[in-house]
Amino acid sequence: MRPVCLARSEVITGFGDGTASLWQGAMAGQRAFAPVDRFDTSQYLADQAACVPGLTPGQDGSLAAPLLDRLLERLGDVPDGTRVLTATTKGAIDLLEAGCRQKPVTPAKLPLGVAGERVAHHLGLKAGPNVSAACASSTIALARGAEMIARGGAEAVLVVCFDLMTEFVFSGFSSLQALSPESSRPFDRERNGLTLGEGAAALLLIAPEMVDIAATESPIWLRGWGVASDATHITAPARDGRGLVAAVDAALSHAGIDVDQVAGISAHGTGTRYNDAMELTAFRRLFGDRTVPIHSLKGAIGHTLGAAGGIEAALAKPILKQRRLPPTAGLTVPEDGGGGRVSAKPQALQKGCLLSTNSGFGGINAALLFSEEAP
Amino acid sequence: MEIVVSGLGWVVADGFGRGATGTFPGLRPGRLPEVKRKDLFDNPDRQFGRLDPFSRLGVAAAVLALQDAGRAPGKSETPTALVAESRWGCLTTDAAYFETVVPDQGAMASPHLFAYTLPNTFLGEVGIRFGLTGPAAVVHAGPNRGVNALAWGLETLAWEPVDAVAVGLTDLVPEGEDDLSGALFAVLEPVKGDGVGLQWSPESGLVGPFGPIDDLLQLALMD
Repeated sequence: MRPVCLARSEVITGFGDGTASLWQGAMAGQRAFAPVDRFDTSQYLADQAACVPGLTPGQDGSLAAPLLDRLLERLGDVPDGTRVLTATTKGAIDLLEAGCRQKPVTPAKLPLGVAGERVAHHLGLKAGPNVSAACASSTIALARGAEMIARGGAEAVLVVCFDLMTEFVFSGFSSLQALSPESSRPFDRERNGLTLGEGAAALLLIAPEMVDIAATESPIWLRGWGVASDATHITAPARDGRGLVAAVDAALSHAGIDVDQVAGISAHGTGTRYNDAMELTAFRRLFGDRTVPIHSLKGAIGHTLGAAGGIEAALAKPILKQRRLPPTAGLTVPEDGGGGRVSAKPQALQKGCLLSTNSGFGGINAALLFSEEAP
Repeated sequence: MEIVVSGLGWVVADGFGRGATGTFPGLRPGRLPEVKRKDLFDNPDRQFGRLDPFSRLGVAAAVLALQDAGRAPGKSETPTALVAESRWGCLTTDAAYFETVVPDQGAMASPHLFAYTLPNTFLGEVGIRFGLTGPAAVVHAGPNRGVNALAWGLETLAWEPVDAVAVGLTDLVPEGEDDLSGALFAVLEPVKGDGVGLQWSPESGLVGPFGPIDDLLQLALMD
């Protein structure tokens, strides 16, 4: 099978536009959280989130199209014939909110497949499907895009992912008692929930033959991928981390590398008691006593739902090139089992692969392995 | 790759059923039948009755297909994948959920409904009942319904460490929209030993005895 290159990426997050601003904010341990002003939070557990600065509704009243358009303007052109995959869990759900509040809404704009149509139209490409797999959506889209290239079915695949910070989602996580009343503190001993964020990412995967054409600077390589389900609970992860372990094992097997070659982990790290405990359990099962550095981006930009995997994957390049893992913002005292692994400061990495993982409702788990060098 | 359709299940306007005991009647306009727990499970399953209508529809069709394939609900794990195609996703559940948010400024938001406002949650429900630990995802079409979950599912079967894939389409159309509601699932497995199966390759797609099979509906009608 062919190697798969991550040629370039663009992101829009609570830190603003571009991977550079995301990297700088993450490395400085900054947090993009601010009081929510889009809706009344007085009945909810929390009042903060990480919203994209300067994002205003489009003509249809939704923030989705402006966010996508802003991202695609930054991305620029991609090679002719690039296949498109999108990943979003709720799309333009703010339109449904308006509809429920008796404002006019066009139902045809609501289905999640509309995202792919918009991306394709903007870039002059053929629309592809939207992947919906909860908070592992963009990770799974990247895995499938990579497989398509590896098997010779595509020369280039563009994965575009996004999710909005809306009252729909905010109220839901509040009702599940999953929001932190303060701000999320991934892997912290006193963590008490997640903080929501919004964002978008576009990642261009290409075959090696396209590197000179499509990669703007030295690329990194997507070496392995794996997806597996817990089959235990709809909203809570399997406590023994079985699904995540299976996904990582599949990724390692796919990459043909040993677990000892993993130098660092970009974890899902939402800040909820159950997720973070599950991940530490899974990583202990995988890595034993070896203290592989771990970080979570969600303490900095919040939980961006279906876009999380893509945004986190976009940081793989600076992490691997500089061999530094950003601090886990919000962390003060690590959870038992996180000591020596998670840190409130940047961590140096040995040479090796970066493991990026995400998990979601429905018991889904996905893992990606990146390396600086081609296989 | 040679594959066989080992199970088929459906819930459509003309009724619900399994491949071994019925013939898929096609996707047609009309009111969907109500599928009760006892139509699917011998043992009590309180959660099934509490599912939102979209999830109940998809779970019912998937359960019927898996049972048709000889699978029994249980705890033993098997690396079977689940892929569903949906144009409208869980929009009906989304609306029902947000109706609990609007009054009282969110104080009465329903955590139970919120858990089902992701289109893939119902696949998790299926996976829990049958111990399915393979990949699971819902793929969505745009307005022109160009998505082919059958192709995605066959790629999953060929490329990922799974023993089978249950491929489906599930749509509960929001009120006022002109489209067809219903759910259909097929369990696809690689042919073991001698046998006449359908042929699949990434280049040619799925080919049956009478020619190419382009989507799940065509596969079900052929079967």
